[in-house]
This record gives sequence, C-alpha cells and structure tokens, in this order.
Amino acid sequence: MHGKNSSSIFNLKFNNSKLKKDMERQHNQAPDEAMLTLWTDGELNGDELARVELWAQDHPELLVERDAVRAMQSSIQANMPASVEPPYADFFNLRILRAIENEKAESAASVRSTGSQWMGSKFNKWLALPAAAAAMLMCFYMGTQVSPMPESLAPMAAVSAKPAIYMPDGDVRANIFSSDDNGATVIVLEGLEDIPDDFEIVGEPRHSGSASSRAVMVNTEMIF
Amino acid sequence: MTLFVISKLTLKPTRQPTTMMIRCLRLVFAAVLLPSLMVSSSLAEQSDSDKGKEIVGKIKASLYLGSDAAPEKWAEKYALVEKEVTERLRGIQQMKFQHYRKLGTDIQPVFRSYENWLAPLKPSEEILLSFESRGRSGDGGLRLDLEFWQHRRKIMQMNPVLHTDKSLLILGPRWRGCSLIIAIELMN
Repeated sequence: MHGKNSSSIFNLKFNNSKLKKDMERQHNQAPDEAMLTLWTDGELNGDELARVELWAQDHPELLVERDAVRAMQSSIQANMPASVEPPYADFFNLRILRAIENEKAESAASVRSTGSQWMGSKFNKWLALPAAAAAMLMCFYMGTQVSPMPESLAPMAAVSAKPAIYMPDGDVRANIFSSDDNGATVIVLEGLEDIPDDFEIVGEPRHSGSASSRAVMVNTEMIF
Repeated sequence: MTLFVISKLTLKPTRQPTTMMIRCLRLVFAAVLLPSLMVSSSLAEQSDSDKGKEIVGKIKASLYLGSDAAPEKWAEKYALVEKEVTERLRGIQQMKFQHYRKLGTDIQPVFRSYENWLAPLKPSEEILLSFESRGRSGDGGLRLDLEFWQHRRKIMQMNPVLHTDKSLLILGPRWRGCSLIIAIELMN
C-alpha cells in the first residue's frame, strides 16, 4: 500500500515537472514571423494569443511596436471612410444607360426593317442565294477599292442630341439651353464662386507649376 | 604583361579556341543585333504612324467678358469683340450684355485618341478646357469628352457634339462685376 502511494506521488511529481518544463519551453520558444504579425494586427485569440502575450512580456520592444501599429490602425480607421463612392459614377452610369438605349433603338429599327420586308415572302427565298452571292461580290469589289491611306476622321458613333453633364461640385449647377437663333448650345453655370477682383486672370499663372509641367513625357525610343 | 606573354606562348597558329570563340561570338552578335535593329526601326515607324496622334479636327475657345455697365479703365486694355460675335451673343437671352471685351483665344488640334487642353487665357491657367475625341456623330459633328476647369478645379464634365456652325457657349464665373463667357467652336 505504502509502496503504491509512493509510486503514484512520484508519478505526479514527475508529470508536474514535465508540464513545467513544457511550459517553460513554450515560454522560451519564440513565435514565428507569421504568428507575430497576426499578434501585432490583433488577430490572435485563445491559447495562441496567451502564449505570444506571455512570450512578449520579455520583449518590451515588441510590445512598443504592437502598440504603435494598433495606434496607427485606429488613427487610419478614424480618418478614412469605410467605403468611398467612385468618382463621376453617376456620369458614367448615365452614359452607359444612354448607350444601352441607343443600342436598343438601333436593334429594334433593324428588326423592323428586316422583318417587314423579308419574312413571309416565298419569292425572296429564291432570291436569297443570288443576292448573297451578289453581296459577296460587291464586298470583294469594295474591298479592292479601299484606299490604303488612313481615314481622316474617327469612326461614326451614334449619339443622343442632349449632352450628359456632370458637375463634380454639388454646389454648382448647370442649366442647358438651345438657342433657336444660331443653333448654339448654351450652358449657364450657377453657384460658382466669383474670381477675386484683385486677381488679374490674364497674366502669369497663380500657381507654381504649369499645365505642361504636369505632363510626363516618356521617350519610347529604343537605343542600342 | 605577364598574361599577354602567357597567352602569346599558349596560342597556336591555327584553330585556336579564342579565335573560334570570337568567330562564334561574331555570329551570335550578328544574329542578335540585326533582328534588334530591325525591330527598333519598325518600332520607330510605328511611333511615327501612331493613329492616336492623327488630328481629327480643330477647336477654338474664346473668352469674353460681358457687362451692362460701361467698361472701367482696367477693361480698356482688352480688345473689343467683333460685331458679328457681339450680335450673336446678344441674340442669346442669357448672354445679352451692353458691352463685350475679348480676353483671349486658343486654338488646339483634336487628336484621335489623345487628350488636349485649351488655355484661352494663356499663360494664365485660371480657365482651362480639356478635351478628347469620342468619334464623329452620325450628322457629321465631332463628339467630345469636355471638361471645364477653373482655378485648377474641375467644374463641369460633359460629352457635347460640336458642329462647325453651332458653337457651345458657357456662362461662367463673374469677375470684377462682369460675366465670363466661354465660346467653344469646331473649326473647319
């Protein structure tokens, strides 16, 4: 009996010392870089957090660094908005909607023209093959007549008559009119600040840099 | 010197490895350099024939000053506006003034796919217009992305279609009791 008790006490002592050694080893074992980064960012929890916190108590420089990073994070969160609206979003949305409307109108017109004239006519079925052959010949002929010189103007684009206007500054409004007399488009801007009277607008720029100085010239010439 | 002597001693009259190597290198350089030169010349040609730099039109921006009060002394140094333009401006309700003065004009090409700037008050940058072509409209007009800048701040962005016979007029900010009028025209 006495022998059994003494052996169990010995086992308990042995286990306790092993546990202590494990804890000491864990305490002395430095966490890896990834673990430290997660700890610095405040993304650790549970045992991992406890272990790194325990280890960091002996490394005050890391505690200082962690505090600095967290202070910077809170400063950024305080000063930066959580989400930012993209610039000119409504202007581009408006243009996309107009492009879709134009496309719909064009496709509807083409369906009307092709549907009413061609569908339902048996005679046209007999004409389809020679017409296709003639069209191919015509295309071939036109292809041979195309000048190799570049076209002087950009390709045509379908546009709506009324231009889309976007005002980045919400305080400024634009009223658009069409002049009947000379066909001019008139835009009246309201809400603009007056230019200071003491400023001579026709003269040297007010700012240090010029418009041309903002441009970056990139030399693409290859030198060998 | 020592190296030179050693190399001289070790060189043999025929089929020396150094000579062979130089020959091989010559061939390699010729094989690499020739295509490189050809590619560079073709790239230079491409940069010369960049379609984006083609001029698809010219636009003119004129800046006028309109006021009902008689022009003060400071305004006398600015040119009077042509009679035709005065009549045209007076025909528009919003731009009807007793007196007009011309502050400046700028004409710039419209590139096929590059942005350009108009600075009618050169060298001042108080009023600027940036523009970029968006192609021709179905009725022969020139479609643009146009931005109006005042004091380096973007005031307005729009996509007008300019025609040679139809100008775009903007009634802008006030200065010294007068109204600024910006006239944008597509030139022939």
